[in-house]
Amino acid sequence: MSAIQVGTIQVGTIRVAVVEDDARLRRTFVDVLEGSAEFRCVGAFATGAEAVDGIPKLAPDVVIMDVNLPDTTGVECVKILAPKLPATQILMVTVYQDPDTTFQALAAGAHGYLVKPVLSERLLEAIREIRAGGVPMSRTIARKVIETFRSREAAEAAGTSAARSPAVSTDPAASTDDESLTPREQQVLELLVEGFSYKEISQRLGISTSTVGTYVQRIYEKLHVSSRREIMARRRPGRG
Amino acid sequence: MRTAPKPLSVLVAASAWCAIAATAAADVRITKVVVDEREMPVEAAQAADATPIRVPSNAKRIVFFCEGEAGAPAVQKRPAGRKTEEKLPELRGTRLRYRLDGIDADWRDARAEGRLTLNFRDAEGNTVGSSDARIEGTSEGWRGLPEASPLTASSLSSVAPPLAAKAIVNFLSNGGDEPVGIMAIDDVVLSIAAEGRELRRHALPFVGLGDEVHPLATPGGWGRSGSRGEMSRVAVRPDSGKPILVIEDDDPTAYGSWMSSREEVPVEPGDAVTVSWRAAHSLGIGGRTSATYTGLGPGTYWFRAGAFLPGGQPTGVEAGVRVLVVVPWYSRRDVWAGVVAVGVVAGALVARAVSLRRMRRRLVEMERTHALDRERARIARDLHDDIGAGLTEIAMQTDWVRRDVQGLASAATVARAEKACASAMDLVRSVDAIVWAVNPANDTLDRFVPYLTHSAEQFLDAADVSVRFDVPDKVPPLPLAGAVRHDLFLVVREAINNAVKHARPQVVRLGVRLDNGAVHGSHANSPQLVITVEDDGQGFPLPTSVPGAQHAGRSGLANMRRRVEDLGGRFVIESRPGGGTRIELAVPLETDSATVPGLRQGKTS
Repeated sequence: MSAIQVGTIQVGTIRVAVVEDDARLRRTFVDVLEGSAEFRCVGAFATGAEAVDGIPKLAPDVVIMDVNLPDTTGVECVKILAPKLPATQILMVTVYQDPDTTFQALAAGAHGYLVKPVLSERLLEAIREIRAGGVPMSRTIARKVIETFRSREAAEAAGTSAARSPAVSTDPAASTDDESLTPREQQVLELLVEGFSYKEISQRLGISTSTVGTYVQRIYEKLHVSSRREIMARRRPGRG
Repeated sequence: MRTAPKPLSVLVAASAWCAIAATAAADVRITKVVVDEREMPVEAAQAADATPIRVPSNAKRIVFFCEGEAGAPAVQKRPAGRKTEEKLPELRGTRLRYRLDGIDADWRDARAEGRLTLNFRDAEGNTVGSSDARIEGTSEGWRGLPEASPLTASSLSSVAPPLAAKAIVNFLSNGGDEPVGIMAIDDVVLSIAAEGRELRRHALPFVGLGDEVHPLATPGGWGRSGSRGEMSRVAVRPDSGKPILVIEDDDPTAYGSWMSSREEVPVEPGDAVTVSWRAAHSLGIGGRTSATYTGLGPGTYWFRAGAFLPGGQPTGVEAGVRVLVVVPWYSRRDVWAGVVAVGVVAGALVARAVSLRRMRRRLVEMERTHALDRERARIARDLHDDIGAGLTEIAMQTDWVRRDVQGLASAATVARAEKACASAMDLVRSVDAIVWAVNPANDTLDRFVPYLTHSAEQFLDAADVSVRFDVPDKVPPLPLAGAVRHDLFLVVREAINNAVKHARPQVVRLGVRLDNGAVHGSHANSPQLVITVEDDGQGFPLPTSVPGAQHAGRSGLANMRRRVEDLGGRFVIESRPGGGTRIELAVPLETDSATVPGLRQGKTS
């Protein structure tokens, strides 16, 4: 849907790293990427440990990350890699239709996901989408996002949130304004949860479909920021 | 009633060979191992160098019989860390515990129980009524001795019967089955409520014990009784410095008791009497027991029985039997590689032959065994790792072929490649659905509902039909068995499929809600899961009076109804030409999780 925006991405190849434990699939991903002039596969990893060690040195544009790895989960890898590589976008790949895990990955810093089997065109398209900043959010994921923001607000209202810890709240770059949803974003999320498509939302709110995509992208960013802060707050015991 | 499992109904031990080897120890014995009604010669194996005995069987069920020496002086020493300067009698019997390594994470006990009794007496001291709270198993956080273990609050309520004049609390180590173990109480309070009177609270504290509390001292207002007085002792909790009453029962044929007889709490008939207390306990049995395990997957298992102190600490005396369930063909990678190589078409045939229905039937059968969970997780993993990944690769490769031949080969060739790819994709999704249903991690409602909406939106998006959800914000994690989930999923999918295929709707609405009220009397107290699928399409006349006038394209309706009714639910369909279709299904939810899945056991001591 945002393939039109391809022209706005950087010229030159997109550097992609692959993390997939199944050797056959890993090979196929690499073949698909290398078979297109637009992309280059800069590294392929079979385990989480290798990926966490090797990917920061490569600093790829995009990481394709399998959710299930032999030594750890893809979600754990995202938690480690996302803060180290702010310019890198992570695309989760999963076989299970598992909204829980997908949501965890998104909250940890992934920017989109694909459900296997991923056909070559869909894989390349998703990488283009993620580079253009337009990975669609499913309604089921939207429901989880809205739940998360609501429970965070409730916790903050009660003054019990880790986000209230002085270590974090004195950080001017992470004021609450960067984290709570604007009324418009809230509206977009609520319509998504009810089942409306991007197109239906754009008609209802009188905005373009790509603006809906932009709102969704901001929601993702806010989710990342507050998730990261929660993780950091938890890593500083005694401050909360 | 059931047909013999076919090779691909892969669940467990279908044609397993078991090899059993045994070792023996003095005070605990494995007396018998019975595999599907056939007794294995364990004694012979224990004598020699544990020569494995090969037993050909369709090992569905393995029963281990074991016995300890009840009443024998197996333990001469108190455990370390206990104050030993007091003159306490030697422990006489031991507690028999067992485990199946590979299945059980910890030692298990056969069921045995103690009691706390609320006893009503008349003015002469005759019992006129009583009610019991059972105390069984091991309390949360048990740490070997009640002094060191957390106490858990409980209460028991009753109404004083006619003639009742006083209430007495009795804490004793015999109930239905007499245990070997330790139990302790603290903070015993009687609350008495009657209309027109203020609530009266009578604490029954353990006082008058002096500064140095002797284990055999008797607190004021309480008395010890039972088979041997020394089973009932007083201990002091190091954390609070407070005394607690302990019953340490080391003899399955005897019992200990603490009774509040001396402090008489007056009651009147009709009073609502509640006794509350805090307790820590760990109870098992002595003597003999048997443990039944069903559905052991391939692998090595080690059944162990051991002699334990009443508090659950090992004495080191153990006996063991080894069980080897050999790996059947279906989990071998080379065989699977062959299967995958047969290709997409053969794959499609095989996968359909694997018949979800047969698999589900087997699942239902085994639902109550906890081996099932492990087995299900393994199957989910195997399906995902082998078949799922293999089919995914086939899908991607054929898609790749299609791209390569596009414009070079004939349209028919391109179409064939496309079709092969689409078939593989379909199969991956089918395998996905099975993997999801089989995986025990998904056995709750809060996992099911997102899965349902997720699948619905993907399907409807692809069909270019608008979707609306009416789903609660918070879904409770109520248990929902794999078979039920899968049936519900298939029915909802069928309903949405029908809507898209036949009704040409603009919008499909999917609603999920929980109803607590009963619709059908039989499930008066359990909540219901209600799912609705509604479309604004063209509708159709419902076959009302003419039997067999089933709508041609909707033969699936009867099937859906049957699935829902098999789950004890109710299936309602409303439709009329031009007026859309609405399907509502309601199934009762099991909220009683008291039955612990896993194993059945019998005790004969």
